[in-house]
Amino acid sequence: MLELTNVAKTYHGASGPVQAVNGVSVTLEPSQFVAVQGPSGCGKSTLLLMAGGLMHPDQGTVRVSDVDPYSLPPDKRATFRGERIGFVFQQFHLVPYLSVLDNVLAAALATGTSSDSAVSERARQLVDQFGLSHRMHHVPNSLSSGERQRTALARALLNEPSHLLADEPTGNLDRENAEIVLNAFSDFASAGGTVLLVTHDDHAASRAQTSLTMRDGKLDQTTKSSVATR
Amino acid sequence: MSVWRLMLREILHRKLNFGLGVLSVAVAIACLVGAQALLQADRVITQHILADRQAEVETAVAVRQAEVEKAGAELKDAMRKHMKGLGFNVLILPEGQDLSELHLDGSLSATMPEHYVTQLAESKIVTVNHLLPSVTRRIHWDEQDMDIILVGTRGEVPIMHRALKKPLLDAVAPGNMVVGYEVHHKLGLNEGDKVTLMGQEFTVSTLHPQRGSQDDTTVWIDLAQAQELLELENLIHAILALECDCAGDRISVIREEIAGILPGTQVIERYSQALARAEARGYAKKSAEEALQREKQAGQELLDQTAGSREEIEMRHAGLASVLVPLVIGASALLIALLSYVNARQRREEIGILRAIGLQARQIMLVFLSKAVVMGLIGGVLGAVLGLGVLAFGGSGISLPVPVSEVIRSSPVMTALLTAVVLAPVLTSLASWLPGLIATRQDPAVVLQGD
Repeated sequence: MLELTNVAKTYHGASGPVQAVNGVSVTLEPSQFVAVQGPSGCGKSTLLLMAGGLMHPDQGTVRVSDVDPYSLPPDKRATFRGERIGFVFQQFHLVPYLSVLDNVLAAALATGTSSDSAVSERARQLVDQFGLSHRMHHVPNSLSSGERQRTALARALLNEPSHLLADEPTGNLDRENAEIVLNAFSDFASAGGTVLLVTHDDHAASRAQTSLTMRDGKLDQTTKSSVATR
Repeated sequence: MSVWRLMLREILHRKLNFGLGVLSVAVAIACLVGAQALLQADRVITQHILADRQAEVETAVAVRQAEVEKAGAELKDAMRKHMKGLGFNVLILPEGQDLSELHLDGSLSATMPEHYVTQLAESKIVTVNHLLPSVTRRIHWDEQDMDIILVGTRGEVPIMHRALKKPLLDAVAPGNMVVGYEVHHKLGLNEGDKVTLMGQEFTVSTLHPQRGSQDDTTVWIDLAQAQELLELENLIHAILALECDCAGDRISVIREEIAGILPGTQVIERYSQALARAEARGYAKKSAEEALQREKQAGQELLDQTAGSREEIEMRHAGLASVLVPLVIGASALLIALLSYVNARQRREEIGILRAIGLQARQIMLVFLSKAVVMGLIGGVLGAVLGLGVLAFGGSGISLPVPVSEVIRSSPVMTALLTAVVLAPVLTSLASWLPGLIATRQDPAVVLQGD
């Protein structure tokens, strides 16, 4: 379960304070695939970072699997992220000098299982599952955008997290690759995981069970009703 | 997959950054090792120069010593011959003998027992040689109507505890007569002539050439015959002797020794020429020793001067190295720090995502530091090779007198090499520490917000 309660975040820039998220509360249960839509700058990426334990909210609480990640020391929080949360970003964020397989296995460095044969086998399975076997030893530069995003997706799933957070994961993909990614999200949710997808893409949002719209730092409506907002 | 693999992949990916880092370390270590190797080469050259100088000085001193010893031996031999020509210079006389009589008349009247000479010869005497008992009296040679000094001698009495020496004066056989120059010249005597003295007939056996001394008016006959003619049976007037080469106040030493053996006698020294030559001999010996000492001193001064000059050169080189080496190492550390910082900036995105997917700060730091250690080790080894290469290729230019390997195996160079192996990774780790720390403290959210 992913639970955000009255979270808020204000950026302090040269042109003055900007309130990115303003008192948002939302709870995502296991097996839920939730999309958050909204215009640029509405605070949806900030919301995702706070939910993922990457950005401390100015107020409110975040609980991931009943644990407040911000109550943990930084290194434990990092490990917690590695174990519980998978991230997928629009720009892929692959390590440029690692092969596809090594990029996937890099996630296991967080859990200290990178040398386990079972983990290596799972990495190969994921690579195979996302159609990257022939690219296993290629570095990101030699991959297409779709292949890079599939690699990022495999990395996000390696540690068998309970939550998957994705920020515009289909923004740079063609339709075919976007479908692969969205199917993976659906499958993840079907298997009991929680998916939070931040996107501009109506088609991507339509694949979620629940779609929330965010405007001026607040969730203002739900297009599907199975998510609890307060 | 491991942190080490991550590190190695990154090194291979950013070869230029890593290569520049390695080069910086290599330059610093090459400077350190090269400086130590060259300083050691300096020391080796100094040791060889000093050893050569030492050998030259020792040879020169040995040659001079041999020359001095040879000259001394020649001088000693010459002096011995001169002394022999000058005859005896020590007279042992009865205590009651009036020396005025000797000096005025060349005659002696006081007597002492003849066995004194045996007693002296059988003693352990060391201050005199060539003991010759004699009777000496100025008489008027009635048969020839002239005054002469009559000397009776029986030849030298050998000193028992010494090797037999060739006598200064041979014994005169009974019935023979040895005649001084003035006497035989005035009388027109020839060897083999028969002459009568105090009623006894003698054969002239030897005619002395002119000596310019009292000897020219002297006639020598056998001691026993002289004692009989002068009615001095078993008595003698004097024991003539030749002094040894005693140090200091010779006559006092001689007197002291003889007084211990023959109480009731007196000792006088005669013939100043002999003394002067003995002193000259001593002076020559002393001069030679001083010359030898001067040679040694000059050699030592040359050695000291060379050592001082070399020490000055070594100190100048060491001084230069003490400034240059830390400067290069400092500059290198700064460059490595800058390269590490640039590297950290370049890796901002990947570090951000690694942090996001759960890598701990210490793992990120380990990636940085392990790369720094590898950089230090490779740079250290490369620098050590380069540093020794300076010596190997520059060895001919500085005329290294020993094989380069000998200098390399020396303790200061080995210490420098070990230091390099330890110092290089420490240097790179320290230089990479701050950039690594900055990287670990980087907020991954800021990087990811780039989206």
